[in-house]
Amino acid sequence: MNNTSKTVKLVSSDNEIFEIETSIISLSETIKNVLEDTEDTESIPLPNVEGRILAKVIEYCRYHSLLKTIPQSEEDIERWDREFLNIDQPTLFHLILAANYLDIKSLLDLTCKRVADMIKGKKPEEIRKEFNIVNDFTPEEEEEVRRENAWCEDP
Amino acid sequence: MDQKETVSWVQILPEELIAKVIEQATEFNVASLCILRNCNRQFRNIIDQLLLSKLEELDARCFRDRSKSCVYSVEKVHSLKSFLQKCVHITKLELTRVFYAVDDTLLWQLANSCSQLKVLDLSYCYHVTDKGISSVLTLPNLQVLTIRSCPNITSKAFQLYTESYPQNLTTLSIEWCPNLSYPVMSYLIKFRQLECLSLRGCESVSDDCFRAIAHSEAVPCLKHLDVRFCMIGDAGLMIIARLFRQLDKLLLGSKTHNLWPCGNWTLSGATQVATILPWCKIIYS
Repeated sequence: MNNTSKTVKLVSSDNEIFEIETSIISLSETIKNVLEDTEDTESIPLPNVEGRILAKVIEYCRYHSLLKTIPQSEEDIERWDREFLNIDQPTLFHLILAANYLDIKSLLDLTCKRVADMIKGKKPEEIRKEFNIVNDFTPEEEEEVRRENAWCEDP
Repeated sequence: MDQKETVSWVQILPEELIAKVIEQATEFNVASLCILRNCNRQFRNIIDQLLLSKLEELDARCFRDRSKSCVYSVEKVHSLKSFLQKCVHITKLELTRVFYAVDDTLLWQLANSCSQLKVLDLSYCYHVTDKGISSVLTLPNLQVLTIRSCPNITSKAFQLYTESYPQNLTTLSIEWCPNLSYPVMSYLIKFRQLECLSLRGCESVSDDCFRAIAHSEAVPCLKHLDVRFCMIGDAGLMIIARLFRQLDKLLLGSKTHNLWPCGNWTLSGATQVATILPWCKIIYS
């Protein structure tokens, strides 16, 4: 079956409709499976993905599908990915969830790596501040963790 | 929008994705993982699970690179024990840089909780005694054991009190351990799978060690033997050549009195070894 010119409608949780070529959105294993299981599907509801996030996912899929026909240098791809992820934190985390739900491995790796880079080299208190993480340790637990980690700290 | 910004991402992402982020952020460096454990309860729990499920190699050298002084701290010993209890899947463990924190109780605990351990380096762990080594030798999967500069180790560490011997131990390095007395070889020939043995720099290892096993019928198929800086002479070399017929590499140190009178062999003795074992490469240093 040749899917190259076929399109499918994706319906976001807030009822935004995106019409997209199946060859592009097949980067998502989830959607690819739905399309394979039901050949005549015209629209796929995605109740876990908001419209603004779905638009980002499609932007990513479109660019990375294009690479199959118009190859780019590694540097250009990295630059594009970097600019693509120049987004606020809530969008980034919802994008991670969407990549996970839609099973787009490369997007999941990319977004997780972006968060990982934000964590790298930071102290726990800096990470808490950066990501609004609440320190829920009791003073006793904090002392315990500190004791447990003592062996790998400098004397 | 303000409300969204105050939401923590740990409240949004499922734990398996947080674990993925943590793995990427730390590149599975244990020191970095330990630092992240301090963030909150959820991080601590996820990282402990990661350690439990994935940590197979721990090279404690990475924790000590910046340290100049070595302070023996009871608290650190306690915390290392507590940490290793979580690492039940560990297969390779290098404890050299935390030598001050390694003692017999820790090795006993290792023997009881880390049954998958294959490679263990105890270099410079000067608190370790024969008791600790005996515990380690009960590890069923242990293949490579390195004991270097451990002054409290004597031959008794390798004396087996039962018929069971370390079934998988193929490489044993006991180096610069000054109190390794002459029965050591009588004990080690019971380690049937042993292929590589280094006794380098053990000043008490002399011809007597090998005389004690001269008439043994069953010996391990040693392929690699290092007796540099031992008090080995021609008599010892002859016994080695007669007993270990599979030997393909023998390391000999030159005669020197700088440390103790070692390298007592002569060129004629080494030539005789080469005649008996023409396939064996003799390396002089």
